[in-house]
Amino acid sequence: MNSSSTTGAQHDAIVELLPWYANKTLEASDQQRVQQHVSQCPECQSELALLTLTNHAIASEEIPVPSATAGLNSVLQRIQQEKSGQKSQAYTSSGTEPDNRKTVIQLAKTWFHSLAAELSIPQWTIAACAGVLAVAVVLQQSMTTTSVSDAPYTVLSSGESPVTTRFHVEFNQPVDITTARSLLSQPLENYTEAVEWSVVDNTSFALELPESSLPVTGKIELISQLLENVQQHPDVKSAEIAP
Amino acid sequence: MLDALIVETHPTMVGSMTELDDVTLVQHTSHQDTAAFEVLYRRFHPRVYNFIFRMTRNTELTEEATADTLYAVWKSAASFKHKSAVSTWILGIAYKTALKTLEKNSRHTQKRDQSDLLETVEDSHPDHDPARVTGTLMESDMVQQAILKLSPEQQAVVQLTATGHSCSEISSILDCPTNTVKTRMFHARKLLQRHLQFTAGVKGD
Repeated sequence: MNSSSTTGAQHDAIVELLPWYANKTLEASDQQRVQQHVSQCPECQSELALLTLTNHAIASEEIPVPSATAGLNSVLQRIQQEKSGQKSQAYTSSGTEPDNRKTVIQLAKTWFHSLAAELSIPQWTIAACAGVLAVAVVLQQSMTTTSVSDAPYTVLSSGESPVTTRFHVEFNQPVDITTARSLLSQPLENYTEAVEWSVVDNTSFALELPESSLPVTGKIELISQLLENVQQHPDVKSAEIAP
Repeated sequence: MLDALIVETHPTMVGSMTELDDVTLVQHTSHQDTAAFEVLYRRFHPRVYNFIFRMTRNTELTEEATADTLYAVWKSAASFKHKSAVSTWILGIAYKTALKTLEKNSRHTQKRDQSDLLETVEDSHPDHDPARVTGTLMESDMVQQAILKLSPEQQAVVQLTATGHSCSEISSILDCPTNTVKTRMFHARKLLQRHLQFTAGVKGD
């Protein structure tokens, strides 16, 4: 139902501009051109009525806006944490919190791998030794009348070694020791203060966790948990227990 | 010169910032001035919240996306190039954030395949007179329900137009050519029209 004075192509061009004719943001010349056409075109008048209705429905909708303060405070906190180098915010809010249930077997696997690499011997040799050791442990357990959980904790070695648990941590980028400590403060949980740091190179650090700071029971689970926490940190390239 | 001024007066009190225009606040923010950022945050919070809410229709997601948007403003203030108004730039960030939020939370947000809707409309009421639409549908809530059926991209175009933005401003906010804006608006209008015809038909039956 176009105006007789405009072609189909001109009508289509006008129809495209109608939304911005309705909200009065067209340039003056376009505004005038559209106005002239609409006054003679029932189809465009109908379109315009719908647009006016739509615009009114949107503009008149009352959306309750909450106070800005809560959001602002959380953002300022993010900024503050970022400034102090604590990128752990992203670490905890990313929904990828580490699963703290790393098994002792996984921990042992990591340790055996690092031991094999250190001693330059085939990994199957270590695996075989581990197998023999596991069988020995099972046999020992089956012959004793005291359950493991009831047994008092004893150090099987001479008492000199190991007195500390050592981690080797490598970061993705060069980082100073203060920043590194800060980055891993959360992954190391309550043991942050107990850990002694030493620089290996500009991306790597040796961390020593004295046994005296660890609980008597659940030591292995705790160490495996801390190790996995550190491994999960986005700035950490690798972390393993040093032999 | 501005740099020197900011360094000397930093941190600036929020109170003295409230009179500053948007561009100056962004400049201060780009120099890590949290007082300026706070004023900018409070100034744009309602507009960003409204814009995102109209796309997500979820208060929780909207609050999160609004904070994310304004945090991104803090992070990228130095990249503001004065090619557009500050509001256009911030709404552009809000648009991208809202799309990401919708994508991440698609199962929590209302989504409906548009082709399904069109088929329903056409199959159920093939003989409705378009002229009847504007004559019978004068209720805003029906229009709002129809708008929910649009894609997020179409909703953004429709709501920005309704709130007084020009085609070129929308093009900047959505970071797409003006022809794309016109095309999205065209399809949105057709979809709205058909949905409203359908709704009018149901009410009239």
